[in-house]
Amino acid sequence: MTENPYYYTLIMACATVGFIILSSLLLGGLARLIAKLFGLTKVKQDNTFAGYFFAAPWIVGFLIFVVAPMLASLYWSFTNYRIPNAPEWLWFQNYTRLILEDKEFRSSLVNTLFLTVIGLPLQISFALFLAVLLNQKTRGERVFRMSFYLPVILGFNAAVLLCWRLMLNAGNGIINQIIRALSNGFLPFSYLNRAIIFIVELVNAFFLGINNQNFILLNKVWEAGFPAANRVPMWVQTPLWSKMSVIILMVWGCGSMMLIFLAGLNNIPKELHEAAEVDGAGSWMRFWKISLPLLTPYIFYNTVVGMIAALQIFEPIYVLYRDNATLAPTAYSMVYYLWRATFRFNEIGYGSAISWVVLVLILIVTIIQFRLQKRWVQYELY
Amino acid sequence: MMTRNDRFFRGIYYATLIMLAAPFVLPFLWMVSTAFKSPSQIFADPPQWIPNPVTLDNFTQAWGLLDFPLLFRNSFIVTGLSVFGTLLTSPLVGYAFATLPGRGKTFWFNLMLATIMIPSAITLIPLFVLFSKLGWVDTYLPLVLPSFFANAVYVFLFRQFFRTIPMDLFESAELDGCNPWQAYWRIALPLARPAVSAVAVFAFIGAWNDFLGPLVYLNTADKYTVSLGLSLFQGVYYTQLEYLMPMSLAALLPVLALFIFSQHYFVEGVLTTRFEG
Repeated sequence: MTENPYYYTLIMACATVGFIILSSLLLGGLARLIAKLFGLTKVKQDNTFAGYFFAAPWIVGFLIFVVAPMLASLYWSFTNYRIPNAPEWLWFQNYTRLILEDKEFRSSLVNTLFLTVIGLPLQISFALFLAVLLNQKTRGERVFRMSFYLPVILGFNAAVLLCWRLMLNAGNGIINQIIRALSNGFLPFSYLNRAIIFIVELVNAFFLGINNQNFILLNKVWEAGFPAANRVPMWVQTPLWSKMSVIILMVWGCGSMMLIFLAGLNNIPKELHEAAEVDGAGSWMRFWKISLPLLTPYIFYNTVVGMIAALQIFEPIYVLYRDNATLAPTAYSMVYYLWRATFRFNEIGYGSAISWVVLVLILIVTIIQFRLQKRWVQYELY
Repeated sequence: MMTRNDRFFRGIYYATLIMLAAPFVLPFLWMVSTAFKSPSQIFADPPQWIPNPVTLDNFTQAWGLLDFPLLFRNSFIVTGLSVFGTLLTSPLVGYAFATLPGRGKTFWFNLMLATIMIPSAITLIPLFVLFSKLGWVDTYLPLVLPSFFANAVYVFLFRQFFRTIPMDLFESAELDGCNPWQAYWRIALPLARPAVSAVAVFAFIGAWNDFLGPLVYLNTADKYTVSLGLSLFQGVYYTQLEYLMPMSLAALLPVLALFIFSQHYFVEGVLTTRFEG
């Protein structure tokens, strides 16, 4: 019976359900006992039992799948654990190596911050723009909403990301073909394209300069001056563009943020807009004075969630640069570096230390955001 | 009546939308186009949108290279059990956080929200060590069983949904002699059908597309899921695009069909969720 993997899985799934029910009863009973010790009434005791009985599946899962692994990883981060050797206690050596010595980690940190500082605002503003555009309640809204949301559902698939890689190919990729055609046919677009290229290359050269601790490349880009008419972005080809390709993928996946903004726009009372219209406010004015302030809680939510996701970005970099040894260091994220340390070099201790640095960083950033929210998030209008 | 001006702006509006939507669907169109191309056309310069001639050889050849019926069956088993496990517990926990009074509920709820912040990378390695100590590597258990312990994101979604249901309903049910379990099973859960559908779709897509999980835990080829099996076409130095693209397309079809038929549910599911707390 247990030879067939399907039956084995089914039997173990049933056993798991039994285990969950048993532990839920135990936890509920424990909660009831504690309630009794505190001298609560019979009804309150029963309610406590029901509450903990119902919440137990998550609490038990939390202990097994979150608390225990985190404790293990915290312990390993202080050791030189490396499969198959046994861990040896190192005190803070992993952390000092990580923060003070490891240049590769430092550049992965700078890269991640670049993706967060440049990619996330682009992602959020694009999502907001799409949501406002879709909120006009016209025919075909559903089809467009679906196409903007499609990447969220199907996007993180190796084949789709490989398609991106082919399309972004600098020489004969379809994206650059389109850009070339548009630049040749329409002069203002050509200037726009070249201006964007210039800005992107300056910014990227600056960040690369931080990594290399010299700004020769930045000087070169500056001296080369405004790009020539036939220039196109060098997407997955040069260090100046490697991170931009990742940002393109981030913006491409902005559908879930868009959906949240749509929900926010839906929740704005119609009367507000009608009253403002009676008072003679144009649509631009109404957006700035009504929609945007009332959307700030949603912008806040998207910023918090988006920043947590951006600081952990992994898949796009993995697919675009996994086999590109020369370009990969210019686009590494922290989690990619972590993956490489643990699964390529089996350095579990060092990898655990990286994951704790990532976690602490996320924690700090999130706490700062919650502190700052009072300054700009408006839960009520005036 | 539409004035001429209105029609002009409407035209601009739709043109903008189409221009913006194009990049979002472009990779999928490119994938479809690649699936029907002969190997020599895939890297043609300049790139061709319409394959000429349209060929089905890729499908037939790729089908012969791997045991696709088995891969699809494995994927359906893993996905089905994950969805079942998710739906068994996530609504229950969401209900507990939404309705039941009691001390510590807010504490546990905030703790749960905080866990969403934890990078999955941090727990990946210890969990792998745990599962290998249990002897569960190369079984479906590490992929299926965690979903039975309620996923924080889905719990949050259910909790938000249950909070929109008036509390009086549950209180009167309890006065009529329902115990909390009956109130949940007979009243709350049937009312939550839109949220259940939304989460079912999310869980299905998540489990079906999961690549990292099967990659880490499954070793023998006859246990592979579709998403992992397809990576066999992807070598270290060379990727067999002419096989990868058509079969990836086939693997995406169940998800795509589900998405199109149910988008109403989960778009509503997200749209009705309030984020203020």
